[in-house]
Amino acid sequence: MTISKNSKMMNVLNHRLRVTMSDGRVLTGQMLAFDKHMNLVLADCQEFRKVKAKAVAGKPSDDRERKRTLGLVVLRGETIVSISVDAPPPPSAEQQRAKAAQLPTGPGIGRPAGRGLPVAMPGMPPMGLAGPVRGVGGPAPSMMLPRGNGPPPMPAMSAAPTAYSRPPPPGFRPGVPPPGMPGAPPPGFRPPPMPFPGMRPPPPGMPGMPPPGFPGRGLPPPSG
Amino acid sequence: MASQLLPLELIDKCIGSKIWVLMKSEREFVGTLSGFDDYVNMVLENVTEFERTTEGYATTQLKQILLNGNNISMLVPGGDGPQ
Repeated sequence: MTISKNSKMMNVLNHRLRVTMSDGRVLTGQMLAFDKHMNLVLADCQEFRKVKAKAVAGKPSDDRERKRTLGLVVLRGETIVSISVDAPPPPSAEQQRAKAAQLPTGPGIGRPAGRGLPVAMPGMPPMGLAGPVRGVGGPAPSMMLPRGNGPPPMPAMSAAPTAYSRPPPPGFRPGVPPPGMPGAPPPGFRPPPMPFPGMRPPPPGMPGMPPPGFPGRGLPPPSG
Repeated sequence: MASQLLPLELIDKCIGSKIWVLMKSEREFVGTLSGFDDYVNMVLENVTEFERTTEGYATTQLKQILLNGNNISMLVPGGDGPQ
């Protein structure tokens, strides 16, 4: 092989070349390979040629340069007239990385950006990923629970009653009201009747308003 | 360091796939490369021939052709043609 001796071509290997062809076309591309016939492999090849339209009377001749992209091209050496270097070989990705590694470290610091939200605790989903806000995008979870007559369901946030450091006084059982203390009326009981606003409370000894269904005091019972 | 891939080796890799052949004249061919020889005479199948005119491209469909390598200027592997 004469390739090893053809050092002129070896010197411009991987360079971006401008190749003039015998029909006047010009090609530019990165030369990846050649052989003894000067057949070339050009990458990212672009073709330039002068369009010489027929000079029709009354029409200006269309002598502009036409450019088109060909991509990877095998060029036959027979048609090549001249070759010139257009640009040095583009640095490969590996070389670029090596160059970046040699650069001195700047004063910049990498740090997670909070964007106004507190950074999530480890093990918890970050804010904004925890799901929709309560009441947004659908009914609240409590709305979806079946409604019975019983007390409303305990919110999941509340914990069971906890005895803290001070123990209850002796004689008290935790969680149970002391005997004799009235708690809230059980469900189904009406609250005690309330006087109208603005009325004075009844004097002691006066009975309150009778419950509905009882005949009032001012009216005699219907006879009949 | 020799070139890793000779030009004719690249053409050899194109056998069986589409190739765009540009002639020295205003004529181009797109077809499936069946084979070629040392002169880069080529056998192409399912060929579209494009002839550049001032108005545009005149196309001709050809089933199978033997193309004389003497008039070939450029080969584009996998090329789709001028359109």
